[in-house]
Amino acid sequence: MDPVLTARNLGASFEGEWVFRSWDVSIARGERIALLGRSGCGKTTFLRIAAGLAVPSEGEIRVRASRVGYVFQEPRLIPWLSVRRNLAFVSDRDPSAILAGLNLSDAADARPHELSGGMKQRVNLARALLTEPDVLLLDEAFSSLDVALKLRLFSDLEGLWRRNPFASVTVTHDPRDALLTSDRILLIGGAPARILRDIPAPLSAERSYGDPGVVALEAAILRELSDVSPARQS
Amino acid sequence: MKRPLLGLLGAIALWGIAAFFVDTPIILPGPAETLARLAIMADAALFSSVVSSMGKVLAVLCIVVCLGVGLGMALGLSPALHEAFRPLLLAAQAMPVISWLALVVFAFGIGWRGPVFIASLAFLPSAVFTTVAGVRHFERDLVEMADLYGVRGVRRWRDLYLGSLAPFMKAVVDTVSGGAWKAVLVAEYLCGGDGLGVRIAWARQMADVEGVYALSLVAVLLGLLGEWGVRTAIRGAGRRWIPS
Repeated sequence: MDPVLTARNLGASFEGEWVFRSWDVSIARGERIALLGRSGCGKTTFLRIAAGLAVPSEGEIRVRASRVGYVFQEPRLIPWLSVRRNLAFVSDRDPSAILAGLNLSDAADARPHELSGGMKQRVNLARALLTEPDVLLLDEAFSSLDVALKLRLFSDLEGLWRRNPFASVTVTHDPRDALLTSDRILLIGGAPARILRDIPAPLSAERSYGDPGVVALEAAILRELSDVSPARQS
Repeated sequence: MKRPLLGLLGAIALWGIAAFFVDTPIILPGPAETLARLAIMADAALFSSVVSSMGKVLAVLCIVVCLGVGLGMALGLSPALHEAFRPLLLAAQAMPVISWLALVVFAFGIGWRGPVFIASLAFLPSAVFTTVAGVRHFERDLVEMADLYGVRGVRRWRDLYLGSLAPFMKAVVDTVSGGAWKAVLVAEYLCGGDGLGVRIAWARQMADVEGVYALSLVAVLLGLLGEWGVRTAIRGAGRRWIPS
């Protein structure tokens, strides 16, 4: 299938020090991948490069998408605008269906300071989805959420993906999150960080939080992560 | 409104006590004598003077907010422009009113333009600098988010930049509404054609001490009322952008 994102020999350095090098990544349309590694290994930098917010120090990246959605690690909502107007800021599309899908209809007229952390993060996700992205980039989007809310968001995301299969790149340092949100996982490690392994995740229909297959795979990934030399800590 | 009113009544009471002890009406007339003088002065001419001064204050407010915020935005967004204009603004800020006076009298003569010019210049530099600080305070994360989603033009200015600037614009309006009345009266006193400041100057020339106090009392009350009015108005308008 025609890849929606292709990176060749991609590398990024910061103040003369290589953060990551020699990344070759290819993502097909509708495919979901996760970048899994320790903090500071360049996962967010990769997303920023893919979104056009940063330039690589070496190599090239090609994104064949007309719309890129980005779920920031922190919600980045405009404090003086209501939820509805925060969404209208990025798109003229009617947000009602997405708000309903993410259970935010009742909060449509609330301002960000009136929302809980989980609700803000759902608005962050709704904003990215409202643009009907071909590629959705998720930067530690679930790390500050409790497990129950996280699982609910995974399920919401799965439902939205089934209706409109967008490619996605999820950045996380939690193997379980990676396994539950992606079709394959790129394991990152070393200094400078490199892609160590490309691990296929269980089929989405078969994965659940307590599933023994998921738990066993998580344990294996954790072992592998602890074996590799630590990446540059940020 | 209750507390400021109590404060005002307290100040009038203190004034009465001070006048009683000073006991020299040519230096400090009491509130009763002053109010009696005001009753005699209260005619159409006084009303016209009040309207004239208020018009100038309004003009100063509009000039400072529009020009100050506009120039501040341009200077905040362009470091080169900021470097070019900064010395001029600092000089304008440091220049005493008396230095402007000769220039203003030569340029505009005696009339309404001189007081508006002088009072506007008194506040313009600080309005520009406050707005520059506001522009530099734009949250980079939000600007980056707007860049990512390709939000430009009117929507970006209205929903993002103006919202970021709102607390700073509020500070500008607060400062100007608090001080413009006083600045306009002083400028009228020095080079005005009409207005409360001019009437205070006449009363002083006639050694009408009670008249000076009566007019000053009107000026103080109108100043407080005007400031309260502006604050109330911007509080209402600010709700759109400033989260509680």
